[in-house]
Amino acid sequence: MAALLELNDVSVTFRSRRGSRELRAVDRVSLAVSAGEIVGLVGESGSGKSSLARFIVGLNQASAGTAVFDGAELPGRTRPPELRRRIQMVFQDPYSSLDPRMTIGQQLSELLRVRAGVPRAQVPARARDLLEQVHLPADLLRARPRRMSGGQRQRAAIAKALSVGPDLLVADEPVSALDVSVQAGIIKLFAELRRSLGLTVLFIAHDLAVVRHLCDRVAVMYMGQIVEQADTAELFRNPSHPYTQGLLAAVPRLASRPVRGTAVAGEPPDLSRLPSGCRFRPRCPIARSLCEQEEPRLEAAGGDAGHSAACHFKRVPVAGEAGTPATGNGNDPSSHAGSREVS
Amino acid sequence: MSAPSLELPAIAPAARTAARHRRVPPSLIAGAIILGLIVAAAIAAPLITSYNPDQQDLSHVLAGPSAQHWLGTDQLGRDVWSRLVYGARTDLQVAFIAVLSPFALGSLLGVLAGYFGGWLDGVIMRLADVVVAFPFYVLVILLVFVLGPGTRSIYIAITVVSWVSYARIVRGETQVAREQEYVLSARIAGLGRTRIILRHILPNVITQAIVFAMSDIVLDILAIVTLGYLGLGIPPPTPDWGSMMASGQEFLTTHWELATIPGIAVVITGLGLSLLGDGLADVLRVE
Amino acid sequence: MSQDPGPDGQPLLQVEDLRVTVSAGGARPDAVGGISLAVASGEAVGLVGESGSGKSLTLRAILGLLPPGASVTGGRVLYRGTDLIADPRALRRLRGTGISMIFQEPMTALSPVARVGDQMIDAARRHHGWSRDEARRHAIRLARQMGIPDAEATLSLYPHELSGGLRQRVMIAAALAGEPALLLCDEPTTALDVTIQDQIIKLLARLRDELSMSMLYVTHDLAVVAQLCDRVEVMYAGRIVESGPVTATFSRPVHPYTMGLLRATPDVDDVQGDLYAIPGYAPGVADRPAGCPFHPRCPVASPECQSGSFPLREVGDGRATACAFPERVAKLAGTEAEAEVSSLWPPCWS
Repeated sequence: MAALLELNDVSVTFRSRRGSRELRAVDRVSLAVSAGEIVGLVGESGSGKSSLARFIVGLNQASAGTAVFDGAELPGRTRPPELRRRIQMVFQDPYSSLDPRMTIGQQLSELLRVRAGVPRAQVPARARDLLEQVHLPADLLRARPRRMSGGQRQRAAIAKALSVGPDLLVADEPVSALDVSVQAGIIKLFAELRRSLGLTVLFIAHDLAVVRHLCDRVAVMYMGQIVEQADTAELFRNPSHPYTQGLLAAVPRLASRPVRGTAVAGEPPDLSRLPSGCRFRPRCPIARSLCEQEEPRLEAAGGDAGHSAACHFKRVPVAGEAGTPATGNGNDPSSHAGSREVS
Repeated sequence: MSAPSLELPAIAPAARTAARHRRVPPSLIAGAIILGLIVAAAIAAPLITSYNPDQQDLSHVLAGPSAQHWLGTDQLGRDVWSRLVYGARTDLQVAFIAVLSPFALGSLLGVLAGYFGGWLDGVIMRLADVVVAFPFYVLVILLVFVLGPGTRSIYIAITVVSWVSYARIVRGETQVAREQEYVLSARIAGLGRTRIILRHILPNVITQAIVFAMSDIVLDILAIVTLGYLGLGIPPPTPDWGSMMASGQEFLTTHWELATIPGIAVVITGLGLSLLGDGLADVLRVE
Repeated sequence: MSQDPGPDGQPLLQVEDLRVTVSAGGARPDAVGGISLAVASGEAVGLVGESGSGKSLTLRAILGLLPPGASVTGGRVLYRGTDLIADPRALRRLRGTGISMIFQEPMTALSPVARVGDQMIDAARRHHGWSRDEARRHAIRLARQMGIPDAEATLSLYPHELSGGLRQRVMIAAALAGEPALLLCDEPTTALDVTIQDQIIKLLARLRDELSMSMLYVTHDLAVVAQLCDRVEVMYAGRIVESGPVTATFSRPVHPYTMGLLRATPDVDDVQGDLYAIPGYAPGVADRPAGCPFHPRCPVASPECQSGSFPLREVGDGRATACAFPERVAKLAGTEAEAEVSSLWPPCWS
């Protein structure tokens, strides 16, 4: 199946404040999203996931690489309005993604009239339909955002994004700012919208648990690059890159008691002073001299056709080795060092 | 027991915030009352005064307060109360109009500078720097002097000098608003720049400018009064507080009320406007 | 490092019927409506709740750091027997020395215009009366304990020159400079990346073990509590609705809200379990329902739940619940009741 969105070696660069240095927030990222998929993009601060998201929705410019959407070239900031309509975004903060001075009804009507070409007479009915799709009561059309809870605002933001009829929805940490009991409802909403509207979603998150429950495929980013990509089940079953393994080990769990050592030591480096060779090397428990000299490329990581990782010593499952849960580098048979204590 | 539905009950958090909204800030009420009284008096001038403010009565000069002349008469026998009330009319009118055009011009330039940045921002801000380099009164007096006295000169002079504050305020707010996610989503949806600026940015950044305008009216009244005092203001015989203070000056030791009463009127008006501005700031603030 | 654990085994911190009101449009509703909890010496207690539960206010009330508009209107806070609410002078002496606090945002907890080392030194000197040099050595030792690399050099930096994780460690070090017996934690890892959060949690766990330091840890993340704490108190609408040891509470909750939270929390290991959303939303301070505060959203509520009071009561094994019908929750928590659960609470995908 042809991909709806295809990114090839896309880079997004920023000039540092003093104009002297160039910071590559996104470095040669290649990613494909098929129609009807929910793809998770996971990363911590500095991973570049937000910059990538902004490029995909047309707020940034790519400094290198190509992007293709539905067969046609996808520009960045210079994107024509008709193409813009097809890729929409939902933001993290429900408190700043709605215009504080307009009612929800007004905000929806504007988009329906101006961008979706809905005739004026049909706008109220369409607005009500949209609210129903996100499970909000119709009388919220008359409400201003300040009278709504965080969960309600997020649903309204999703309704706004849907109003122009997009093919691809980019969700940038849409549940991170919500309470746990509200979060589950929004996660359900994304799943439902995929089913009912055939919506394709690029779901950006730092919360691996949410990603595991919602996404079909996952890409893990670190310092501007994709370090591992796989189908969800495969990624969580056989994480191949040491960063992915560390990330999984770092997530606190309800049931088990903590492993003694820390999952990933140290901190992400400054974007302007990247280490030579592999970017993860300073924090990697299995780093060796090759890692300092040569940057690893994304290569097949066995186990599954769609699984690739960028590591010279990536863990490739031996034939017959099934479902080994990721519990940290200490249990990893191919690693040579145990987890590292913070010095 | 039935399954609780996932439908969220309608706007219930309103109960929390409604209470806060129902309470009108006392400063707004106080300011509105004070200003309201003054404006009402100015409008109803013919009804509450019995004399024409220009009417001279040389047989009753410098008279103290009496039944016919509530505040006495000035050195030309004109009724002080009438001059005060008609002066309010003049000064309020001029000040109000004088604040509108810098407000409009400054806000427009501020939004453009804040939203587009780049060279446009640079040009507008350097222009602002030039204006600000001169002390306010020096520039205003200079302009009025050059343009000749009269209300039109006052409007032009004040506009040229005052637009800067509005521009700076609105520019700052615009720069913040521009990065807010609701503006970003408008851009992502493909809404045009004009629409975004007028519908989404302007209503959210104009609040501060409005509040500032309230205090600016006070400054303008003072400016007009000062100009009047210097003889560059509204030409006589139109009554205005500034010229009243100027002409009353020579009688300070004998009839201090001639200069002081209009001064007190200025103070009270300023107070009313400040309170109104404060109250408006509270009311207009969105959470 | 900690002082004697208490002469007669009494808890280090005892909160009794604490009531905090806030001003909201003329009215003064209870943001915290009479809660009681205790922290023993060397124990880590998690205080869990969502926004609006009052958990942060509770913490701040203990140290007298309430925001303007909020005030304590009832109850006692006993630290080693001394009521901190009744005796503000004792409270002032204790801040930073007996009881210390770390926050979510280190940038606001640390003064931006002072070097981080100086901030630690001041606290240490106040507590021990040391000279500047002694305090400085102590600060460096502490920084090393916190895993701060290159301690001496780092201490001479300003907060904005440090990374997020380092700032957090510095804030913890500064909080510990006065050697407190009790550390209050107000969501210190919520704003951090997962890997950094893991480092900080492990650090706090080590401190808890090595220094026998007590902790009262406020968070909305149940998993963090599972990692770090011995006991947990679950707050909802300004009240504690369940209390007990972490393992038992999270495996067999006795309050519907706790169960709802557990079922709404996605688990990174368990993809089999369905995710359940708690319908409705938490009530604001001014519109809490009569009766049990949770009843409008509760799947096992009955008409009796709509009125009356529902205080926390003990149900054995060191556990307590505010639910009048904990057996219903127990029934729901068992796997044989999956069918019933899915009819009462819509799952996330069906």
